[in-house]
Amino acid sequence: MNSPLVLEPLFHVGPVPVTQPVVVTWVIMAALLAGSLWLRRHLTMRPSRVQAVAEMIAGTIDGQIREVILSDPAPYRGLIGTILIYVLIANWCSLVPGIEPPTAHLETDAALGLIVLVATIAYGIRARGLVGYLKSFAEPTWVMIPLNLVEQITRSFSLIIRLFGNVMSGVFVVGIILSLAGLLVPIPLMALDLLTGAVQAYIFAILATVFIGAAVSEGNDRTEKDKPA
Amino acid sequence: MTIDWWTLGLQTINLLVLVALLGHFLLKPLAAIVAARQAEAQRLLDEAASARDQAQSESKALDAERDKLAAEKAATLAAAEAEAQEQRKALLDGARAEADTARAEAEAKAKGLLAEADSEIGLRARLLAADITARLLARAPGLTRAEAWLPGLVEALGALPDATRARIAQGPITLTFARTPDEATRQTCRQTLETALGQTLDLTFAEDPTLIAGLELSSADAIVRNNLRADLDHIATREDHDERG
Repeated sequence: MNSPLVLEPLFHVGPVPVTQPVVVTWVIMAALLAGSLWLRRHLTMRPSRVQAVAEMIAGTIDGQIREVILSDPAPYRGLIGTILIYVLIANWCSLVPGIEPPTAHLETDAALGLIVLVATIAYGIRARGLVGYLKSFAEPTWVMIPLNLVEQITRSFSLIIRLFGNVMSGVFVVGIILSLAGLLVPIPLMALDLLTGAVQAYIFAILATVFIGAAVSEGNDRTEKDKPA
Repeated sequence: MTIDWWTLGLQTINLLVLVALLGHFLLKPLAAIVAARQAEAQRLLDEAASARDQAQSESKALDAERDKLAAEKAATLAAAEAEAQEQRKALLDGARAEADTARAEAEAKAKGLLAEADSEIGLRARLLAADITARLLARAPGLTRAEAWLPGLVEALGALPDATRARIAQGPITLTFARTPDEATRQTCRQTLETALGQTLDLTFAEDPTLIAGLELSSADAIVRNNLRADLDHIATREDHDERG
């Protein structure tokens, strides 16, 4: 059994090694793109069952964003929705025999965390301005600047490690039990992995929303105050 | 533990592309269709509210029109009733006037007929009385003699005022008999009258069978009757007066 901490390239494109998480991500991307195009072509005012489920998911994402950020969810819908959907599908890839979830590898989780970190900074600067965003590190006092900077890094790091640890451990445990016991023994653990994967996808998405919301909250307050009564 | 930076970079690019793809091809269209449905639902609700308002407005207009028609109907009925009352009154007045006229005409006609009948009856009665009297006188010839009626005539002259009697004596006097008198009767009558009036008279004699029996003295100033015809006429006049009284 290969260690999940080690990535072996499946093939090379020039000097670039292509590993399994990348390939699986491409497959997920292709599947999501195909489904999106099909659904987009079949969107009607009288929704089908599939469209109704998709609208329910999109509505739930919008509702969560609106509750956390307290503003229009449209600017954040693409990022948060994609994170939720991708992480959920990636976590559930373990159901397919021979496929390891991309999120069970640190590179994928780091990419997700990195995107969230950059998005948090970008949304914060857009909402508060560059100076306003930098000033937010001095809140409540300038003494907190180092701590806030460290927090900015550590919370992203914890986001990455949390997802990586939960998914990787599930895969690791299932692999160990599968090697020690029979074929059907890991099934309860796999079912548990489904629940864990869904919960981790939700946690990752909601924490990303919270980080973005914290970055833009003062800007949103200022925008709300600027609105005429 | 090592990190595959190529994988990290590729996954970052993959995820960024996925964010763009899902945002553009899935989440944005879904949000748009939901918003469109909400807008359509809002539009339908607005249209329904508008239709409801319009229906209520039309209902109120219909109610007002109905009230107006009811008022017009009541006014028309009242006018028709008033006109009918006027026509009825006019017809009644006309009928009443016509009835009054007819009744007055009938009463006048009846009175005329009654008067004619009375006159006819009176005439017949007088004729009958004259006939009866004539028959009686035929059975009692003494009553037809002028001398029998002469005292009554003298008594009537005596009842006249002196001035009247004097004027009678001055003028020509005609003494009418029911039958032609003989000379002795004429002399008796002349002497008696001259005695009663106290002077010689310019007396002429005449005959009128309608007197039936008796005498009639006429002058320019007065007529003194003492005959059956005068008595019968007097009786008839008195009866007429009694009937009318």
